[in-house]
Amino acid sequence: MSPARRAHLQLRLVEIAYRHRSASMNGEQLERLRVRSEAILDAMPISPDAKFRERLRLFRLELRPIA
Amino acid sequence: MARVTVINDSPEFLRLMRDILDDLGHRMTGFQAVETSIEDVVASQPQLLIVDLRLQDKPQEISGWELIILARSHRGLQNVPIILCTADVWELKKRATDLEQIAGVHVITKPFELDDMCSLVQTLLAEPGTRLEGIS
Repeated sequence: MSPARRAHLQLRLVEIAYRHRSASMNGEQLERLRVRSEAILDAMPISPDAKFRERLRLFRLELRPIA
Repeated sequence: MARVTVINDSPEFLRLMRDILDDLGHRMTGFQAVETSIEDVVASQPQLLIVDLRLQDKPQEISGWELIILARSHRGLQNVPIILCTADVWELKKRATDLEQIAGVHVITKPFELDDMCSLVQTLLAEPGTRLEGIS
């Protein structure tokens, strides 16, 4: 599996996990999901693909807690 | 190449798991929870099951937990290793004691590291007693 493929699949995993359940979770559960998602994204190597980096940036915005 | 059956209520997750398992060289059968009966799962002849803990949207639909209990009660699935996926760590904690009583269930919490899932899949499929297609 190439690094690009791995990164693509990993991001999809995190996106799906977050979006599928976040609407039905309480604050504590959602925070756990958010923190865990960010930790995985933080561990990903920086991609040379600009489109992928933009997708990642947009998803990180989605993960931000609402003030 | 192994046969892996995945039961999940998210079509996106099923598509993703198919991509992952294809990359690992395995054949996946996917079931969306609302359509699934235990006999459907048996008919897919899985060498590995991947089940989500929270499946049902409605009380009359089968839950992931119920599916695991049924699998362990069915002669065709008794010895098939199961990966239990969930984002609901609270439900998992409630089930912790029950889980200890059931053999061959491996838990992975969502969101998971891709490498962790791939490693777990390959480890479980490499265990003695798992006969893979194409390997004599």
